[in-house]
Amino acid sequence: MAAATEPLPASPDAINDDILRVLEPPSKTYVLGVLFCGALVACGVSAFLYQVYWGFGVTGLNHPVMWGLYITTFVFWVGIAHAGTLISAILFLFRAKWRNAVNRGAEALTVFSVLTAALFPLLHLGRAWKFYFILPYPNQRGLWVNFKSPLLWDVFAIGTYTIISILFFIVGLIPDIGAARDRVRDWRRHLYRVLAMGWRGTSEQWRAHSRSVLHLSGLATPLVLSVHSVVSWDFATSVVPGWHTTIFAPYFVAGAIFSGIAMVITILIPVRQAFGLQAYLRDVHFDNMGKLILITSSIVGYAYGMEYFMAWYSANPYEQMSFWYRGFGHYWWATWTMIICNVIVPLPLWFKRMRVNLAFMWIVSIFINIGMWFERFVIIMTSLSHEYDPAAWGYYFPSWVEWTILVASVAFVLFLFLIFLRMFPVIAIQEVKELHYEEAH
Amino acid sequence: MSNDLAEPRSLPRVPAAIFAALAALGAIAFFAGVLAEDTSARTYRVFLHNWLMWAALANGAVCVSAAFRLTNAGWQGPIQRIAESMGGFVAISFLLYWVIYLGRHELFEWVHHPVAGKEFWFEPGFTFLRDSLALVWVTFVSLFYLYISLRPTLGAAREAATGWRKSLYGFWTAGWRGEEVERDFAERRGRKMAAVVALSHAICYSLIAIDFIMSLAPEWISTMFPAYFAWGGFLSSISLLTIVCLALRNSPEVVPGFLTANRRHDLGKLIFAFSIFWMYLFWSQYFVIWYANIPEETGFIVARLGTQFLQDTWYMGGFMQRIAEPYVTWTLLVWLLVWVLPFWVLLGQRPKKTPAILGTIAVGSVLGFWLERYILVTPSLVPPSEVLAGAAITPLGWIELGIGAGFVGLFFLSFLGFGRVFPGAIPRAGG
Amino acid sequence: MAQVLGILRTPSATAGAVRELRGAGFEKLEVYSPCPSHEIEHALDRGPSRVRIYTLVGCLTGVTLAYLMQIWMAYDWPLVIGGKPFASIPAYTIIGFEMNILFGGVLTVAGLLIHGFFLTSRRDHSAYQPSFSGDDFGCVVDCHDDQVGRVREILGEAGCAEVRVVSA
Repeated sequence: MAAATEPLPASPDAINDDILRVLEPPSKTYVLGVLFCGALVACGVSAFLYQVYWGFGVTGLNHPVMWGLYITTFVFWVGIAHAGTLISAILFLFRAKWRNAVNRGAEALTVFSVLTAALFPLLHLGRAWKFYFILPYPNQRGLWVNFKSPLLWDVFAIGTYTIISILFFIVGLIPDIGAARDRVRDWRRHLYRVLAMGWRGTSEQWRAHSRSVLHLSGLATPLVLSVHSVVSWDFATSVVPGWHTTIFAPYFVAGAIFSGIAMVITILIPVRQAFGLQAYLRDVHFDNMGKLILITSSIVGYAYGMEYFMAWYSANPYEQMSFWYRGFGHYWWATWTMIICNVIVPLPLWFKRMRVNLAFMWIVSIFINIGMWFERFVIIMTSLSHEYDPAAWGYYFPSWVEWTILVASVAFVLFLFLIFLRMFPVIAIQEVKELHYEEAH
Repeated sequence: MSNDLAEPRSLPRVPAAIFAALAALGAIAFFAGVLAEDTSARTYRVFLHNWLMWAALANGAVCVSAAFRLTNAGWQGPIQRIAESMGGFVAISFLLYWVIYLGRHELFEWVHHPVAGKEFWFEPGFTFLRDSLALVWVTFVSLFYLYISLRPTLGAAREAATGWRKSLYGFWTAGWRGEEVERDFAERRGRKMAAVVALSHAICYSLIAIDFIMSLAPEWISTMFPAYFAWGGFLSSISLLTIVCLALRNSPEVVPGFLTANRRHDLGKLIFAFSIFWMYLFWSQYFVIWYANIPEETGFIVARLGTQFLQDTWYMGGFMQRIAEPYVTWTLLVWLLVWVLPFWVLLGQRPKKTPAILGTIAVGSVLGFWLERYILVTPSLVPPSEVLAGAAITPLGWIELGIGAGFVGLFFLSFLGFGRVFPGAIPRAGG
Repeated sequence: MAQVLGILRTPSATAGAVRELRGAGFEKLEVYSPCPSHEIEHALDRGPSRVRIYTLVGCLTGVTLAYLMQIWMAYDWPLVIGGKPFASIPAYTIIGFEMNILFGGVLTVAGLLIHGFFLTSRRDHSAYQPSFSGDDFGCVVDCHDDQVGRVREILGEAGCAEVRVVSA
């Protein structure tokens, strides 16, 4: 792809024009895309209403597998969310300059996928309208929630993550909304004027802004570690073979970043082609994201190996059986899909040539998305369907209702992302400019 | 510059004498301990925990250099070479490993009795064969990485070198293709090797953690533990690197003033961030075991954090009861030194830049890791029940301190010797 | 009072202009810039932002509230779960940590709103123009009417592409 080596844009004003051009009136393909995603979301909503009407019997869930596709997908989307925070916060603290062209898109993806993820525990409730029972509010029954339950930790972790990632996203957007306000002339300028809240780029504003971005990064970095750790403890604090294992927290976090970066690549490559952002999303970005994929893929591979080894080493028949079942039981296809997609497929990325080959990167990223979804599927299904007592073994396969909702959740994230593309600058203008002046200096 | 590099330098006398004395002290303590019937097991135990600390630390130092390369860090300057000079100890730690082999009868229960269900894994011949191979591999990889990294510098120095150095550098830089080409080659090849170094460290030291620490309490399992141990090697070497940099900051051996406030700030940030990550790993392991309360897992923690670890309420009276149990105080001290102090003290910007504060925290962190290795090994071999029955344990006995000092002496002799054999290994100018 | 606006093209030139102006005793300055710049911040030398206090207060409040809430609620409706004590510090650390981050983050943004938007020292932004979010840097000086000439001179020497009096 020759386009990948285009030079940096010449002037800061061109940066505004290039990036804000994305906000111009949409093409027909774009409208069709939005409508298509919207239609899929409508299918998902219908499937959910169907489930509410008929009850949980319409899903594949039954004893002993009471956590199924919904929880799998919940963990999957929480994981996807992690890439945005990694790129915005952790790489910000490490002063990695390459992050600034991809961070806005990644942050948006974080917000949308964490919102989507938060829906899934609700979908998984038999009486979804009673979801507020999980919150510690004073009530006439005089009882409180159980703070020793991992599910409650989830509420706080996911809740905090949602709020903080939205705040982070908005704070980063304010200066760019100011730039959009000064340029866009259609109805949206009123929206931007309100949202910019009087941003003028005074030194006082920048000072407060830079300081709060720094602090939010400092807070979001441990937060991102904690969120997927808490999700992992939903499983690890139990005594279910295959779930109860100490490496889960960092293993889940690495897996989350792995899948999240893959999703960022999956989304940004088409955006780059469609809107001519080749000068901003360059080789260096995909090269570095490829390296992050390699690191996290190695950690995930290490964890797979360590889990299998420890199961064998433990000399515990239940652990051994659980892991044998994983590789060679009913769900062997899921397990091997996961291993191949997450460990084998990324291997060519050890070569730089493959990391800057965008077509290849895009295909690999799709495989990783699939592989990481299967990882959660494997962890949940294989352990629940074969616990201690052979008389209580079972098999689970998702029903059409669940599959529909899974597809709808992908469409929902894409739908939100497409709307976002037209509403707000997809690349952080002020950061690209800052870098421009630093390099010119 | 090349003349300056080739100048034969002798070891700086006073530090070399001190470290040689410490090494000698260590040797005396070791032999006196081993040869006496009643202290032989204790001596090997102490040797094992010191070896675990310094072997992982030395290889961790090579990993630090590799990490600089992999992340294109760009801020480190001479610090990278200082880390590499520390990494030279991997060769010596490989030789010292054989002492553990000699002491296997005193250390490992499974040498005498097969462990139920783990007969295959802990078959003594197989265990030592795989550990030796792993160490051969990781030592080779680390040394080869150092070879690549040093090559361009030595190529510049070999013209002016004399005597044995001339032949050594000639051998080292065989097939020299000119400075430009070599630098570029070292850069590219070095980055590939850096990835191999990091992966090898993670895998080989995980294996060491399983075979030399987990095997001391063979019923205990934790998937986190090997990674936790390998990470400790990395973090402890960053702390020690900080100490060495602070000690050398006015030395004529290195570019004077190389340790700018910004670099101190960066080193401080590394200790700060990585100690948080260390605590995170520790916590993730502790917490899962605490919550699930499975006897085969809790035993390991109870031996270190006390019998009340499940009733973890931390009110004052309970706290006093807890620290009355063997080992608990030391474990808490490890937390304090490796995480609590670095976190709270290095939170701000100014303490990270102040040499005295940064240095104190780094020294505390290294001491904390020494204690941590002690606390990983000892309670498995001398369980609290034996301590309560009167077995003497203390990390501050003459054997413990003697062998600890011996390792410090050897490590820094190796560090100084590295700078003597390879002038320019600690660069006087540039990076 | 008069307001003089100088338009510059780069952060370094802007920082230079600020230094010159401050050297000449003009402290009532405002800089509009399209992106943050350390140079300009150094030249203005107005000290660290007060936002950092908000983060600290938020974090400490959050973690304290979280532990108090959990411990109080656990004793208000006592249930033995998993053989653990009512107030299980390790289990409560998780929500303690999350609320530490939540309150810290929310208060940080509150600090940004207060110090960046609501309680700003300057109210009159008649000098602002849309190009300041593009590639122009604006340097506005408040001065007495008889100093306008001096300010114009300094700004001109500092390399301003354009200098004009916004209000006299």
